[in-house]
Amino acid sequence: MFDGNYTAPVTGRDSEREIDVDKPFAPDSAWVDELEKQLTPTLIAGLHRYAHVRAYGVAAAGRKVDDFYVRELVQDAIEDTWIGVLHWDPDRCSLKKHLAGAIKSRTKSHRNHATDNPHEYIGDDTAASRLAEQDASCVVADPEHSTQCIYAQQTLAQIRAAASRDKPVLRILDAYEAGAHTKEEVLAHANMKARTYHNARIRLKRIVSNLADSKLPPKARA
Amino acid sequence: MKNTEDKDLRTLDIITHEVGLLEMEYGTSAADDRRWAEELASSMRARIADYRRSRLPKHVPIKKAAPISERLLAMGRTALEALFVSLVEKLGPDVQFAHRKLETLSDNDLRRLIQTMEMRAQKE
Repeated sequence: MFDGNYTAPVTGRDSEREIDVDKPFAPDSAWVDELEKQLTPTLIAGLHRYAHVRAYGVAAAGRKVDDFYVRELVQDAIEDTWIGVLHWDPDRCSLKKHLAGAIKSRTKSHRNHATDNPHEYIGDDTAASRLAEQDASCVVADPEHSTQCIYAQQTLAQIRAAASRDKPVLRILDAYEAGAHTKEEVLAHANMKARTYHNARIRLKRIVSNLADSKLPPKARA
Repeated sequence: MKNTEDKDLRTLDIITHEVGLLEMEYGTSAADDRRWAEELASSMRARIADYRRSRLPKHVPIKKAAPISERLLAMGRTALEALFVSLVEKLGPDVQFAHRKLETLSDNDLRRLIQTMEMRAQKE
């Protein structure tokens, strides 16, 4: 199972497949200047906070994640941009938007992978855990029994329970469940004023961040 | 049942994206995470510096200065200084010299400086 890829095997990178070895990425100085200018510790810390909440969604699909996973998400997005695996055009979007988009896409992919492969990621990637996974997968890997969806259901129920006395937050959650995504869509669906929406989102952030903190023990893999 | 499950996953995806963006914008990081972010930024700066160095030409040809003209060689210090002042006025306030103390320039260095300035003045 372990393929020897020492650069963050769990965050979706496949350098051998994605890098064109015949044509190494050689960005021009304007590109490098922009990367250097925008890649500040503040940006990286912000991306880490974004990845932390996104990892909560991956955990809710039944996959084991921890703070190492969160850091790898950020590091790999930066690394892959630097080596050209992820294309970034500074004229088209900021580095912040580009890296957050990469993390969003990868966490979504991991969540889908966990959904499709519920028998994987029972433990860490060690010989013992791999054996345990092999044994366990025979017992529990029943595609009809979508445990990960129960996790998602439970997670949403937890968020709703934490917001049970906060009607505006519940209305935002209803709007999300109805497929609304953008601010305009949520406001229209929830029939809510922009100010109420703004304040409710801040409270929703607090609820979800607290749940994420409790779900993702820091450095649990160590 | 499947539709409900998909909806739950999609809803969770929207929530974690929206809340994640808020966290990124307004959240605060633990001291340990801030240190990690600083180390990562620092290591990337080092790699960028390496990359810039690797793109510098390995060998830079040294361009020899043109020999000082007979006309300037024939001029004495007073004439050279007068010519220098007139050239400074001609080239305007944007002209810059890489000498800190012009009064300590040797005659030949002053001649070379004047020759460079004259070439620049001719181009303009």
